[in-house]
Amino acid sequence: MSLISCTRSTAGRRWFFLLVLILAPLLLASAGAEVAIPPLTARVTDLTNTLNPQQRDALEQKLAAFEAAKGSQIAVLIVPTTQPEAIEQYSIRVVEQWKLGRKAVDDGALLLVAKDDRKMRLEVGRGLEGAVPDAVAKRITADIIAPYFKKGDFAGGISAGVERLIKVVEGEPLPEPAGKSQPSRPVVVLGLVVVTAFVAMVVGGFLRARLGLFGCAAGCTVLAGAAGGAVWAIPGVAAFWGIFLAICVFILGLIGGALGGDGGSGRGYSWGWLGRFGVSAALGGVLGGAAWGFTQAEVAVIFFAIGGFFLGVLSGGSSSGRGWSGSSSGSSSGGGFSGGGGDFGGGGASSSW
Amino acid sequence: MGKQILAIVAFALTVLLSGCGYNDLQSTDEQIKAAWAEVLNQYQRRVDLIPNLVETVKGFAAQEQQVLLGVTQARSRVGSIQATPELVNDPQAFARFQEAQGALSSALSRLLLVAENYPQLKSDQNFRDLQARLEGTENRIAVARNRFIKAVREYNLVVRQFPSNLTAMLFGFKEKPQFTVENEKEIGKPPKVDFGKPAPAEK
Repeated sequence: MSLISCTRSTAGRRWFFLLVLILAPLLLASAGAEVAIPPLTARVTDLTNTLNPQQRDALEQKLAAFEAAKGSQIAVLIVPTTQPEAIEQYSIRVVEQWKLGRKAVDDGALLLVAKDDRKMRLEVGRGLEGAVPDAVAKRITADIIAPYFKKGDFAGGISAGVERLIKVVEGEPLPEPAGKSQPSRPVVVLGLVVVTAFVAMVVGGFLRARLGLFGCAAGCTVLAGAAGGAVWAIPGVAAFWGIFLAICVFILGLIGGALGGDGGSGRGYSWGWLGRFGVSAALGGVLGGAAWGFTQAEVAVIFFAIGGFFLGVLSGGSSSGRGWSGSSSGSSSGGGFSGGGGDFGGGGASSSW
Repeated sequence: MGKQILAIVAFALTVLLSGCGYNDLQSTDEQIKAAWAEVLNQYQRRVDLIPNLVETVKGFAAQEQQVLLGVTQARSRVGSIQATPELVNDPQAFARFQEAQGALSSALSRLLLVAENYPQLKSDQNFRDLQARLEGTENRIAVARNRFIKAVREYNLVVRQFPSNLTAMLFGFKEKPQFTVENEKEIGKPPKVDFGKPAPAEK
């Protein structure tokens, strides 16, 4: 994810955070210091160095192969302790952060081992609750894994448990693992580009023609406020981007007014509709993308793509949208591991040994 | 011309209104509804488990009439309360509902405590499965309740903080009842139902 979308706290929501800051200690007073959730970087996370590298790699490969074949994400986490929280509380916090499993399929599972507490939990994603009901999860932990753990064989227990879990999930009809194609982002940005640019330019030009320069400025102010407010109202978008968009819309509107000339008297620098639209589309693309939380690289690609396209149109040539080729940078697939957005509802079972 | 300005002003007003938290009110309210539906769903799941559980225990410990009866009664009390989505808007009905569910929780843990005395029952695979399902369901209830608490907290903040409180007042959005704080700690962890150790004292 981009950095931009993660920064939410700005003026508009500052009160919310203040209140949360004030309330949080009261609510958590009894909870004390909770065990931190490690970042998700691999399928097997061992904070106790219980597994040796070979065992970890073998497990990692088994889980990776299973995800490739079936699409379901299974992860293993070994921590020394979950105190002061119960293992169930810690476990749900981990999966809420890690989001194992595919989005809307919710086919993730986590095997959590709290070594010093002598407790383990198999947390099952909502989509797997049919294949792995609580009773089955209980049998996997209590009957398959726990005997190994009692003998001190953690690698063997985890491996046997995971194998069993894989076998159980294999029988479940799940959607095919997709080739990770997510075309939604460029579509969203194109929509934003067209709407922002078109509205700003058309209204700017129109107001200039009808109301003169002052009317145009006034209209642009209202429009800028409206656009900024609309962006600000989108949940998850910081107020800063609303203000930013408002300013940009204001300027765009004025440009539209200026380029539009006064009532079609045909000033020399009128570029024609396509030209005006092209320039503003490129600008709109950048700020629309920024407001939506794109990375700078994505914005740049879109900017050049649109700019290139309209330059091509302007110069009469038919440049067929150069720059689009490299646009689908997609999410990380090199070495790292991240959750697919699966949801957990607290299903699964805990056992001690 | 006047008409056009009017249209623009109306548009701006609409958008500004959404900037004043109207949309936040709507979306957090919707989140509460979803979270509450999940809470009800999981409570229902627990209720559905009970007949089977009672039957299984009866097979091994029929003499524990009182405890079995307690569970059945608590279950029928829960069933007598209309668990509708509108419950969240009625603090009194909400409290009654909570109380009935709490009574069922303690009746169930009494039943499981009693089961402790019957080794045959404890080793019965059917009973073990039911117990796992009950544990899982209690945990789901805990998770659903926590998410509901979070959703209500978020909504109540929107209702109370400025400037969205003005919008809330204008459109009649009221604060919603929360799960009471004194049992919030207890909600956080699922009730212990494993028999290896003595169960925690019931209040």
